[in-house]
Amino acid sequence: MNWRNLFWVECRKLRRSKVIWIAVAAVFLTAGILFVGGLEVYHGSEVHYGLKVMRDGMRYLENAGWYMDEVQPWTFFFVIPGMTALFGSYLSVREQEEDTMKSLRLIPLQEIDLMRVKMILTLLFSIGLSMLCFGITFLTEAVLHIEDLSASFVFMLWKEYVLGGIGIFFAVFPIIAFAAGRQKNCWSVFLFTEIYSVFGLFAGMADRVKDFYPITAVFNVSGYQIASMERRMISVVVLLLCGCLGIFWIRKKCDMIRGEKRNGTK
Amino acid sequence: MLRLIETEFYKLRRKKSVWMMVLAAFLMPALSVCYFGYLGQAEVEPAQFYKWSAFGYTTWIILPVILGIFATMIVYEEKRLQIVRQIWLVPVKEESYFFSKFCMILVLSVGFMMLTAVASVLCSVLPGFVPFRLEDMMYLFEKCMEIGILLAFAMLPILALAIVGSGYVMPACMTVVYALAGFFLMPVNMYVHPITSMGAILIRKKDIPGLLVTQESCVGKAVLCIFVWDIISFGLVKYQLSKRK
Repeated sequence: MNWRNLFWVECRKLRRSKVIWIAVAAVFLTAGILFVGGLEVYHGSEVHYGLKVMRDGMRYLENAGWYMDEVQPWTFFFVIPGMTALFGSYLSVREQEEDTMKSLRLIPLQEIDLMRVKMILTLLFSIGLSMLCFGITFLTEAVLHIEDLSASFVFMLWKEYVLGGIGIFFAVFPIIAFAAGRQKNCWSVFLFTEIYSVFGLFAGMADRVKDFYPITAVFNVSGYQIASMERRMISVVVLLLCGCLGIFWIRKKCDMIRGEKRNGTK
Repeated sequence: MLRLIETEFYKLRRKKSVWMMVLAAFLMPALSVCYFGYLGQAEVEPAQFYKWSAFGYTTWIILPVILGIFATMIVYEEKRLQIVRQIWLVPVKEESYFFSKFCMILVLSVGFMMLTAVASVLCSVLPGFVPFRLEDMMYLFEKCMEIGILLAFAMLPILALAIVGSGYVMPACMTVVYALAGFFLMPVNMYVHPITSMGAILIRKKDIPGLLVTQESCVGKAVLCIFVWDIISFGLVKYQLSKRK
């Protein structure tokens, strides 16, 4: 089966599952909660961070860009990693759970191709969720104060969201790959990813550790965190290493299955 | 009812992921040692240390997520293996089924917080951040017990969602949103969400430092909020299960 067919088949299978709609609902709800949180009035000195400004005595939401900026860390720490890991492990484990793997092997089908397509779908899912966050926050900001939003500011935040979505996939890819190899259930993957993300809050407090910890490295790469080129490169390397680790585990899993098949035919 | 709870315990023996959940109780106390060690503070105010190790992320994010996943897991696994049909054949009443699951959540919640309290004492006293004082420990254990009990009640809507729904993705995703909502609504309104209402009960004596609140703590309103959410959850479960049976 070629790639296009595999991709089409996976998309058709997803049509029957509610996982995407539930993730979309979770993103909307999180954005809604943060909107309510933004109704609070900010008290303190004026803060300038990049193109972002916070002024004393104004509601958080009244500061142009606050909402687009604030949704990023919360969704990238707690929502998108968990959802991406859940989605990735759901895709890779469901063939075993629903016992469709035997039928797929009869086609015949290379497991490595199947896993590759599943992981590409997971990457698209992660980017899609972060783009949804961007869409919701941008539309809200546009309704609240369109005149204060400059094109450069919106483009900068768009870039942060896109790179954040890609980075989160790389950060959680080893977990998904490991779970797929060991046939771990989705609970363990989801729970472990959430704990892994909570650890990121602490890694973010230590100056050097945040460049190396995958979840916080995403913020360096996306540009949410203002960092030097050297630190950004370290974070890029860390995320690429995560990707390599994930690929290694996926290949190991597929080799194991191939070995089992070969032994079975003997 | 007691037999049902006993059966639930027997079923849990085979689940290794529960042990992984329990291990998370040591996460924040260990991280608190790293944090205060990194700051280089020789002596820390006990309430400040315990706020980090037990009343912070553990209460607002880690334990709600763990309880939500646990609730989803114990309900979904029975549905997947079609054990739930056999349970209705016994027959077991809807209320008994719901309360047996709730008891499991309560036991995990209280056990988790007690473990967090023990780990907090060890992590604060052994490295010398906090002097060994009985009243500080009593304060910690009392608060942890309160959190354990209240959070089990606050997580009932997620248990109801897991029982009413057919899959596991929905309650698992809603767990994260529900926990985040508790975290964010605290400074806005404490009496609309069960987790923030739990916060209002916890700070009634104003003895937890650093919690951002904009309203006066009113225990009555907080209890009412949790009660209303729990009654709605129970009603929903009762209605759905009786319809399905």
